[in-house]
Amino acid sequence: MIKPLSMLKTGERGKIVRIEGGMMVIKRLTDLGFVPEQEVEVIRSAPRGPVAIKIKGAVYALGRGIADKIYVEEVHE
Amino acid sequence: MLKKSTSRSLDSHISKKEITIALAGNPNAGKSVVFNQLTGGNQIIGNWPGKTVERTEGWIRYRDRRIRIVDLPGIYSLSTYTEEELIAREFIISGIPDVIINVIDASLLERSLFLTLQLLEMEKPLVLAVNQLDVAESKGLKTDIDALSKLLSIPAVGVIATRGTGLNKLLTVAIESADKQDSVAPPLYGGEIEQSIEELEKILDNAYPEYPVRWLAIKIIENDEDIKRLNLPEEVLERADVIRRGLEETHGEPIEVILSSERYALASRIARTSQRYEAGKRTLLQRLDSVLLHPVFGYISMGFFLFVAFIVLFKIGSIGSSLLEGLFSRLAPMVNSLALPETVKELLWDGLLSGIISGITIALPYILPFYIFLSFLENSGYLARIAFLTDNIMHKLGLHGKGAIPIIMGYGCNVPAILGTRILESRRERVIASLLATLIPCSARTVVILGLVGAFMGLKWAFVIYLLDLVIVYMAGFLMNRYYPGETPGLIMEVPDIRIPPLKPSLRQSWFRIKEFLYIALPYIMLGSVILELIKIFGWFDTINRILSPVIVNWLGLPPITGVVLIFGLLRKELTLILLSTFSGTTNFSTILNPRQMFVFSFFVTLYVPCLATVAALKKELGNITSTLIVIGEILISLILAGLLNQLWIYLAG
Repeated sequence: MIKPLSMLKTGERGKIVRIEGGMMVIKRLTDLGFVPEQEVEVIRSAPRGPVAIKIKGAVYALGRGIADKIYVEEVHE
Repeated sequence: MLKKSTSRSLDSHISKKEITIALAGNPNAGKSVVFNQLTGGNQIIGNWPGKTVERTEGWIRYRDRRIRIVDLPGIYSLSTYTEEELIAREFIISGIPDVIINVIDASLLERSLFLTLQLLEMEKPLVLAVNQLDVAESKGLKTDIDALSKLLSIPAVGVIATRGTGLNKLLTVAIESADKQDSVAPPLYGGEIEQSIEELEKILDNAYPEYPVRWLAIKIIENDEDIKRLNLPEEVLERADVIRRGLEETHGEPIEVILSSERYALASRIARTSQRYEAGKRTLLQRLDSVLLHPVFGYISMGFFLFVAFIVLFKIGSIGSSLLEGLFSRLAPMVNSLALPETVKELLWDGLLSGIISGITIALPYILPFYIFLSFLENSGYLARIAFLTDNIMHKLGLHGKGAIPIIMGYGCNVPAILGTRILESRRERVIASLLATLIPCSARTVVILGLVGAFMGLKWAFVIYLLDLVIVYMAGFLMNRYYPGETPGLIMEVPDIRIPPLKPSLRQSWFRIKEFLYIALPYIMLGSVILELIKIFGWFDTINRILSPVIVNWLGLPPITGVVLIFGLLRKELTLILLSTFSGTTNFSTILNPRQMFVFSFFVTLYVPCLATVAALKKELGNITSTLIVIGEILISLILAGLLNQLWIYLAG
C-alpha cells in the first residue's frame, strides 16, 4: 500500500515511490538519497512534529509537511 | 565503470612554488578536523566575498613550498540550490585550486560518493581522504581503500583525522597529484543518459574552453540555473530541451530526480564493492540517542540539560567578570597620574577605556564560555537533536527546528544569536529569528534581573520575568508568522551521530567567533561611552531626566534618576544596575526602589531596545530599514507593556 512517509510508525520501513512538492525540496531530498526505490527506516515518529528517517546509514530530521509529501510503499519483513 | 583517463598534462612536472588545496566534503565528514590538523594555527577566518558563508583558509610550509589550504563549505551536492554549493562550485571551477581533497565519511560511504562523483565530473585533480575509519569500523563496516581508489581512478588515503592518522600521507599524495596535474576521468552513467551527454558534448564542441565540456553538457541537461547565465546559443538550448524531455518521458521523473538516481546508483555500486558489512554493535552513545530523540524523555532531558548549563555558564560569567573588573580597576590610577587636563582624562578613562573594558568584561567571562558550550553542542551533534525536538513549536513562530538555535544562543548574548541566524534558509526566517533573539534576556540582562528582582524580591519573581518574556517571544513570533508574507519552509536536516566533540577545533571555532563579536561590538560600545561621557561633562543629566520624566515617572512609575540610567543601558544593559548604585550611592536597592519599581524596571530593561552591539549586528545582517523598524518597534512595545504592568500593579495593590 502506498502512503505518505509521515504515516509510518517508529521502526517501520518503506520504499520510496515518489516525492511531491516544489523543485527545491525535491532536489534537496534527492541529493540526500531520497530517490525512487530507495528503502528508508523510521527512527522516530510521534503523532505530531517532525520525523527522523534513516537512509543509506544517515539519519535526517524531516518536518511533518515534508514527510507528508514523500510517498512510500511499506516494506514488511 | 569510469571513462579511461587521458593524460592531458604536457609533461608539466615543473612544480609550483605555491600550491592551493581545496577541501571539499559533506557537513560532519570531519573536514574542519582535517583542516585544523593540517594547518595548525595559521588560519584566517572571514566570509566569502559578498556572502554570509564563513570562509577558512590556512597555510603550511612543506619542504620549501608554501601550501595554501582553503576549507570549502560543507555540502551534499554541487547543484546551485544553496549558497554553500554555489560557492564551492565556483571556487573549484575557477581553477584556483591545484588539487581538491575530498574528505569523506567512511561510515556514510554511499552518500559521500554522491558528492565525489560530482567532483569527478569537474575533472580537476582529486584525492580522496577516507575519514572516520574508526567510526565505520565500530559500526561493522570494513572499507577497502585500494578498491575505492581503483574504482574511482583517483588516489585514496585512509585517515582518522581526530587522531591525526594518515594526514602526512594525505598531504604528500595531494601535493604529488597537484604537481602532476593528471586529468581525472569523469564517471560514466547509464545507457540513454550517457548517449544524451555525448550528443550534447558534440554540439558544444569546445565553445567554452574554461569548462570541461562533459560537465557543461550534464549541467545543461540538468537545467542548471547558474549555467543559464552563459547565454548559450539557441541551437544548444533547443537540443538540450528535446533531450531533457525525452529522458523525462522515458523515466517518468523530473530531470533532477533522474540524474540524482543515476549518480546514487553508481555510488551504491562502488560502495558495495569497496565496503563489507559485518554486524556492528550498538554503542552506548547510540543507545543514549533513543532517549535524546524520545517524544517524552527527549524533552525532559533537553530541559534539564539546558537549565543546568545556563546556571553553570552564568556562575562562570559572574565570577569571571568580577575578577576582570578588579583587574581593570587597577588601571584607573595609571590614567589619573598622566599629565593631562582633568576633562581629557575623564574622557579617556570613563569614556574610551571603560568602553573597551565594558566590552571585554562581558565578552570574555560570559560570551566566550557560552561560545565554547555552543561549539560543543554543535560538534557533539546535540544541537541537531534540539532542532528536531523543537521543530513543532518553532513552526508556530514561523521558523523550523533550526530556528531554536539562535534563540538559545540569545540567552548568552544577542549578537552571536543574530549572526547565527545565517543557518536559516530564507530572509523571512532570518528576520523573525533575529527579532525573537533580541527579545531573549542575554547574560547582561540576567545580571539585572537576578541582581535586582532575584536578590531583593526572591528568585521566584525573577522566574516570573523569564516566563513573561517567553510569552512575549511566543506572541511576537506568532504575530510575525501571521502577518509577515511568505511561508515557513519545512525542516530537512541531517542528524549526525552523537559523539564526543573534538576539543581543539571547538575551542578554535569559539575563539574566532569571539573575535568576530569584538570587531562588531567594540567600536559601537566605545563610541557610545565617549558620547555619554561628553553628556556627563556638559552636565546634561538633569535635563535628560526632566525631559524623560513624563514617561519614566508618570507612565512607568520609576524614580526620575532611572532616566539617564536607562540611556546608559543602551551600551550594556547591566550598566543600568551599576549606575543605579553609583548615582544613588548604595547597593541596597530596596532603599531607592519599591518591589513594583524593581519588577517594572527589570522587565523594561529586558525588553526596551537591544543594546548598541546588538543593533550593530542587526544592521549588518538585516540592513538599515529592517533593523530600524525592529528597534522602534521594540521601544514602543516595551513602553506599552511595562507601563501597563505598572498601572495594573498599582490598580491591584491599591
